[in-house]
Amino acid sequence: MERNQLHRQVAQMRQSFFDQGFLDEQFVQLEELQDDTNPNFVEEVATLFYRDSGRLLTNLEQAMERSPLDFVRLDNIMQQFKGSCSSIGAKRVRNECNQFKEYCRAGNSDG
Amino acid sequence: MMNMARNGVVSNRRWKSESGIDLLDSQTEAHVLAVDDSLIDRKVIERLLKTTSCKVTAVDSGMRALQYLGLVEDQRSSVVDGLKVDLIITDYCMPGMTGYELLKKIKESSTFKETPVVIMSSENVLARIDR
Repeated sequence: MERNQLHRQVAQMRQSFFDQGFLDEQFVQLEELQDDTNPNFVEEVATLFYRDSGRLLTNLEQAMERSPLDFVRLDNIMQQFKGSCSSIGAKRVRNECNQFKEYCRAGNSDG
Repeated sequence: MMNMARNGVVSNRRWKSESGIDLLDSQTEAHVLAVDDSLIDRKVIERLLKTTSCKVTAVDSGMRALQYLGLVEDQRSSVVDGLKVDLIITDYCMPGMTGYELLKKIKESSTFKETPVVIMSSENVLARIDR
């Protein structure tokens, strides 16, 4: 009984991520690559994503502390981050990356 | 045009190289060399290709790809003889050598110039992709 409830909660949470625009179709593609021979595929990819993102965000923080800001470097970091987001279907974060890159291109440090 | 083999073990795909030759015979597994600097992308590509029963070798840079193919001048790779690569799929945006530069080096080689090379890019802005 409890197990069904948990399943339902997880399913609802998952759906809400799509509804709120956090995730897109790419994530579904990843889910479809998972099967009995690779039962933890999505989890493995997600783990890699978090590890990779942590590293990129650390680099970003360091780069943000420089004065003046090196927009080219920031843009490069964002390019990598955007790539990872696209691969995992992290739509919302990817859009933020694009916004960030726009600011970099415009040399807008306030943004 | 894609025919899946009956027992699902081998995909019978028709890849045309520039000279129009069928590169795969239906009984052998295709060997794909995937090149991408992102660990996540390598993992996804590897999984994707394996679902179609291809053998996959994934490397993290253009230089490593050239080393693997035995195309680096002063470094003869011992596995070059009999190395069969049916398709090379590479990211475009990579630090060091871009996918396009890798393509050029491969096409300049005598051993792999007939091998089809696919370049992937997540860029939607075409201006960023020089040619």
